[in-house]
Amino acid sequence: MSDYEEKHNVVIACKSKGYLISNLIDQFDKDIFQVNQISSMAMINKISESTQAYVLYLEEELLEDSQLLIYIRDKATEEGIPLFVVGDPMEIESIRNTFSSDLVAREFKRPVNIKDVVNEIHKYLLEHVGIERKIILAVDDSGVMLNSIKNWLGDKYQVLLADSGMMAVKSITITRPDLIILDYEMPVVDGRQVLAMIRSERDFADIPVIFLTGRQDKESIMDVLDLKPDGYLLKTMKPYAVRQYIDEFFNKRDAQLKSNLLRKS
Amino acid sequence: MAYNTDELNVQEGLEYSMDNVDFYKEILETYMEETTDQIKQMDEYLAAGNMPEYATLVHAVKSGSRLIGAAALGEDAFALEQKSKADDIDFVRANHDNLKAHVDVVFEAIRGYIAEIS
Repeated sequence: MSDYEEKHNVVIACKSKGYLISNLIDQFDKDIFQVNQISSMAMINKISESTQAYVLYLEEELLEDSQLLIYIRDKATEEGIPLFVVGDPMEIESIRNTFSSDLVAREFKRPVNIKDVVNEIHKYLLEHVGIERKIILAVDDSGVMLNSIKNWLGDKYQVLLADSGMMAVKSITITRPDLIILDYEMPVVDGRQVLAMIRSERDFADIPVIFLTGRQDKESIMDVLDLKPDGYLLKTMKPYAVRQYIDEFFNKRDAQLKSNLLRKS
Repeated sequence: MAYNTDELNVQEGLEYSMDNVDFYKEILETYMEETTDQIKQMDEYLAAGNMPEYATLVHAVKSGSRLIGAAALGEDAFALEQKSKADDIDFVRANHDNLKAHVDVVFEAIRGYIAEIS
């Protein structure tokens, strides 16, 4: 999601200001979420009308602030906003009278991996709140590669898979992706031919294509670049690097689209 | 360790699986199925002397092997990829069975690892 689109608001109720809470806030994808921490009733003006999730980060002090807890419970109930709870088993047990189980979307019992907590919340919101995800079509004849790409990018993007060039062309006619990650070397119809097919169809010609190549020598990379793809990824790249590359690709592209729109208006 | 760690670097494979052991296990199973099919097809292409198609398949074996953490097998596949692209069928004929034997060793390591985590 680009900066000019509305972000999704998440409110975290927590009294402490330690490393764990900053880590929790940091783990949310800033391109998609606006995260605010509130620690008292004096801060409820930070709760946006468009809040889409509440996270209760339980500790002793928060449990003592029944006014704040009840306020959040009522807001979540009235507006049907999902509520997530992080705490140790005793703490979670102690709020059961205030927060009925049907109000709590997910509970995370300590000890927890904060990254897993955020991934779960991310996933829940993507599935239930209708956050629009960009669609990536990954094309590769290797199921190992396709499944890996889905694993690397699937929590943030909707990843469609095609295991052949022909399957890719068919898929594009059904669902237009925002980006195609295309293997260069495939049997029957290779990446070069798939790209040529896409570029020759007026309706699809502007879909960005990033090549995925296992070949790292200069000559091979020049061959790939001659086809004028929108980028290329090496199969030897680590997952975080692939993810960063794709995120940056979309950020740049969205910024460019925004500037084109502003120029036209 | 009940499996050959020289042939299967689990730490590296897990890195490509975002440290998710369940997912890594799935990927290993997919890899074994897929590589078995690829080797069968490579047998046929080699018998027919079709080096371009052989090269495409051995390239896929190379990429898949590297992704699961079987770098040594990836290197063998890479050598065959280079030679098949250069249409050096004699080299491919002389080394194809070695690649198959190496695949079996990696499969054995995978089975050992899966048994260990199950």
